[in-house]
Amino acid sequence: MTSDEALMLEFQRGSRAAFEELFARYSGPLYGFFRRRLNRQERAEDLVQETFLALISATSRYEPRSLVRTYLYGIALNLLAAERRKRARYKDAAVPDSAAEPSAEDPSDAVLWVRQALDRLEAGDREVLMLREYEQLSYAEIAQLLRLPVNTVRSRLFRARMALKESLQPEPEMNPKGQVKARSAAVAIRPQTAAESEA
Amino acid sequence: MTMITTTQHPVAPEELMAYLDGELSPDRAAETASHLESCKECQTLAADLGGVSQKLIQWQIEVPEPNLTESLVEELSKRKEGKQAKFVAQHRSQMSFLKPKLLWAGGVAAVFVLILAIATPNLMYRKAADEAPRAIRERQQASAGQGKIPGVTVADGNLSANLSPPRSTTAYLAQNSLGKLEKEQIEAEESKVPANNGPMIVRTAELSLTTNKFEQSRAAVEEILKRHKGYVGELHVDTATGSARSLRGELRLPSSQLDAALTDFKALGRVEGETQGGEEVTQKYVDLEARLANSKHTEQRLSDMLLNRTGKLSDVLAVEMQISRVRGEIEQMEAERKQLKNQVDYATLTITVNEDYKAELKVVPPSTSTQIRNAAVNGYRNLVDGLLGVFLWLLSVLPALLVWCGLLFFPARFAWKKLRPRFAREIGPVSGM
Repeated sequence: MTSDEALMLEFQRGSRAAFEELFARYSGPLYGFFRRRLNRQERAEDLVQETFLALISATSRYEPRSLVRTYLYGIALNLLAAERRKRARYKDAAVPDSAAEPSAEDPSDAVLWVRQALDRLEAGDREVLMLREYEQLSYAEIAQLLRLPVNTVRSRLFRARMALKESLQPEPEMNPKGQVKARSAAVAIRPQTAAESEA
Repeated sequence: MTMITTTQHPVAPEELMAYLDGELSPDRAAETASHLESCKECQTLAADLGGVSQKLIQWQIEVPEPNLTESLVEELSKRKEGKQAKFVAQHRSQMSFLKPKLLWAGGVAAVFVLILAIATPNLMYRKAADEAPRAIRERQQASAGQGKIPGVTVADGNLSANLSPPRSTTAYLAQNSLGKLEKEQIEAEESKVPANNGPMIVRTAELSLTTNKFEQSRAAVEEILKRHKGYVGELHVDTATGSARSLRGELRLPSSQLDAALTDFKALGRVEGETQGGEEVTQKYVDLEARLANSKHTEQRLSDMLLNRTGKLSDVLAVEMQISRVRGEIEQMEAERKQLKNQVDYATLTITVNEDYKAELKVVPPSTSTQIRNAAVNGYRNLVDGLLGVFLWLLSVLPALLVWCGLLFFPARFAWKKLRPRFAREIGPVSGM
């Protein structure tokens, strides 16, 4: 199978087939990316299109130093940020884009649960976790996208997972405030990391 | 909550997670794997982490059939045709790539046009200003050339340097009893000069100066005169005690040197007044020449009559009287011509140098009420002047300011739009690249 980067270089040289192949590979994941982060299905579709439009117009600037996947998710993150800004501007009229908001689909209890648990995480932790779990990006890729050190990505990811583990326990006893303390897990872990560094 | 300490576990929980994610270096991964086999706590943690991932995976998104939309297809085909620039602007996401370039280009072009519009009249103005002095210089050269006859100019210069009035060529030659033919020849040359060299202008100038170094000014005046080959027509120095001393002189300078000399004189003190004038005397000169030639012709005929014809003594006496009258007229006209030429060749500069005299005065201080009234009047005047000044300033600056605002508005708005998201993104936690 041809690598994404090779396809991108082919597309740079004018191959439409290469673009179609890239589109086939990434339109699904990108749709998932937007769909999990935005509430409206049609906006998610639009944004996938816009991501590829931006890719086309930026083709000449692409250099094979970075992965096409990272490149695409970088564009997607930018578009998502723009979309959220736009939403924030017309906050009153627009539908909130929170992952926990009910959508047109009829989600199962388990899905609803996951979404609510994710929504309770801190925004930074949630993004790292979602990029890892759903977009299957490596730590290094996440670090590059979010402009964070890899170690920060790892600790955020761990913190988010520990927080989720607690809120996804079989007994649905939630914190009365409805806010899982993501930090509690991290606090429990932290002494060990300190001890490790001493060792 | 599972508590794991490194005293019991050689592997930190984050490392365990990284191992499960396949993000650990191979040697560390091997160590973690062997530890995991034997450690129940770590196995529990691994199971927990796996459970979290499992739960998360349940949230699956139904992906619609991937198909290229019209806009993408259109964009691709246009890209192929190399017309990417035009349609890119149709899309908001792409506008940010292309539209700014057009905006910048437009802005730069507008600024350039504006600069050109402002600079052009100034350049033209400067050119016109350059031409004016050149015309004056040319005229001066012409008038200076009028009196120049080879070999005589130098003598003239030497004479004037000795502060004595120059003698006209005609008089000089007559006094030296040169042959009549030579004399006429030179006169003819002289008379031709103005006709060939444009108008004859009698230049006059007045300069009024104030200086605090009065003692040096007289010597300086003479030095400047000498340098510019001029001479003193008249000079008065008034040094009465108890009042400012003054020097008043009527100086004659070669017309061509007048401007240079004026510049030098101005350096002597503070200029209080300056006047320059010019009178064209070409017509007058030509008339004089014609009358002179006519009179000479009459004299010649009378002389011939006296030589060739014989008659009574009374007739001879009558002719002699006529000759004498005509001779008198000729002398008068020649003197007039000489004076005119002198006036043209030599400009007249009237200079007044006054000492900067500080008289002692006993000033009676004004009464308090007068002072208050004066202060009030001054205050009111200052207020009005200030307001008027601000108003005038606004009037002079506002149009340009408005034009600049109009020009810079779009680039500034573009820059703002471009920079604001960048700042927002850097602050925002999840917004990414």
